[in-house]
Amino acid sequence: MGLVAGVVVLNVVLAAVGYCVLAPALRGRSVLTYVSYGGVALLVGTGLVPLVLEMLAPTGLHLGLGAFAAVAAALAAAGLAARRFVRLDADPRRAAPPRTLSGDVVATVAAFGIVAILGIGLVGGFRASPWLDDTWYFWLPKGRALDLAGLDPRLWTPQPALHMLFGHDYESLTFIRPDNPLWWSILLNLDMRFVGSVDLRAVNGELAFLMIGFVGTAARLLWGHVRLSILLPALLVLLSAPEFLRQAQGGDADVPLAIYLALAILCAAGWLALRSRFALALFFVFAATAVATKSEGVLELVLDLAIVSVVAWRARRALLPLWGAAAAAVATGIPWYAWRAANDIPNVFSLRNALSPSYLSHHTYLLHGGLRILGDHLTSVREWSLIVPLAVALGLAGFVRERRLPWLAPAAFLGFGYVLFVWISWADPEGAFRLVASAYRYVTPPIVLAGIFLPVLGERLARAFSGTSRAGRGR
Amino acid sequence: MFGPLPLRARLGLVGLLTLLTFGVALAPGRLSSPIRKLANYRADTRDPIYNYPLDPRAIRRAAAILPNSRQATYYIHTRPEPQLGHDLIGAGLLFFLPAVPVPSPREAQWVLSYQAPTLLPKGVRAARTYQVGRRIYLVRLRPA
Repeated sequence: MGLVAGVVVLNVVLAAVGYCVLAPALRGRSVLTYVSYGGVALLVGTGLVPLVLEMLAPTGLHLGLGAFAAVAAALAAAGLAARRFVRLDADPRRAAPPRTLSGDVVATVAAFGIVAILGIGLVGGFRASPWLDDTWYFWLPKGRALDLAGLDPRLWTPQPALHMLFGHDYESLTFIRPDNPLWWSILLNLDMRFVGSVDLRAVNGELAFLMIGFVGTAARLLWGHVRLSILLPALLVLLSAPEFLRQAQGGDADVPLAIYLALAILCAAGWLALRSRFALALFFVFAATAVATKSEGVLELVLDLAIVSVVAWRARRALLPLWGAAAAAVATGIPWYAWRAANDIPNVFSLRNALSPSYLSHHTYLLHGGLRILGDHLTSVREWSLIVPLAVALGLAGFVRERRLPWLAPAAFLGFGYVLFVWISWADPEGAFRLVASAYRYVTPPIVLAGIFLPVLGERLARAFSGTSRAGRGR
Repeated sequence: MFGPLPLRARLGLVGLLTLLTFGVALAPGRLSSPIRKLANYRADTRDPIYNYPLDPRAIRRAAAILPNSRQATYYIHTRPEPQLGHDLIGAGLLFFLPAVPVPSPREAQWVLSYQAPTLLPKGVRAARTYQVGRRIYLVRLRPA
């Protein structure tokens, strides 16, 4: 089909599948409402189709166009059939127009900024081959292997006999990081199949579509809950972070992980705050995709859900369905985990090391290195602009004012995410290498997660202050 | 959805922002740097950005010759340079599948000989040699 047409058609098909899956929640709505759920539909379809293919991979099925067509059709049919007996309400809210001239100008400028960045990013994506070698070294080759040979242990299981010496360095002939789930590899291979050849620019084209879907989904889910003069500038702050945009052309799976994890936790908050079953259903889809994206996805999901559970303890009755949905999301990875176990593919992060005082005490240099390197990336305004300072400052301001824990959730995502990755690096025999090579990407999911809550923090703070000023005038 | 800003003023604002964006995009030096990076002014090719300057056309030519079979095996014969070896393994995994790489030439049916000091490693003999680039060959081996 060619580069642009191939990627566009794949994403249109995935969005169509997403719309079918969303059908029980959108039935009877206007065309405009359907259009406004375009980002949600895209991310739901893009999440679910490769996820189901990943679940089928251990059967040895070749995950090419035939399997894609069958799974996409089955999901679409299931969604349309579910319309008859499943009742979910997407509850699409309308946003009130800005009341002040300045608010209207701010919203207009921010909307322009978002559209401009996404548009330029889309064009740039199709002009850029991923700058990170992981993309062509193992993420995409794994997808091609699943297509051409099926899930063949010869390519995944680490074997010292399958190493070659080049100069002073050994290189493995099997895939490195074989522990990572398959979702991103499967999606990238589908892009190549639709394009018709191996064209690495399709990877960044796909990432550009994911970014568009991410912003569209976040805006749709927060639309009507957060005023436009706060929602749009906050999304612009998140989207325009230089490191976010840079990584969106790197080709690695950290941006998709960050996107799906952030949306999963946003939907968890939506479920807890609004008891929206639609939000809970979306939480399942996004959380399952995050778990299927990278090995650390499941750790980050559990950590962030634990934080949400602590800060939302007042709504503890709603936590049980949330954890049930989380368990179901993690369970979608069981076929992959079982295949890994059957073929002796260990996780690169060793729990034994992580819990061993003697191992950790012998590697304290990694603790120091982790604290410093990860801390530098986490707090770098040059890399992540104002996301971290704003999330912490707004959260603290709200907490000081209301003394309620939910205000601190975004700061906790950042702080505990930092601690998690320091600990992981400390316990990793190759931690020194990975800190240098990958630390800048480890912080991406917690920062994007904190960033997606900026509009919520801003809106709640604005309401708190406007409530006070009204009360003051009343006195 | 639209607020108190009159339509004309809104269109004017959007027009102004568009002009500003184009201005920044065309500006010399650091001013245009963010847009230049995002739009990737100097477009890349469809090939991977290798760490070592591999010949991407040679790799694709070799991929087109290798049999499309899970039974096919190949060996990478090159200079003892870690980055070169690393990139050739990655390129092979990307383009040569479903053929699988093997660590010894004796196990291989094919050899990718990439700017190596000799055409083939010791102990194997060529059945047919295809030149796919400058000092780059794909060699079908005689069965042992």
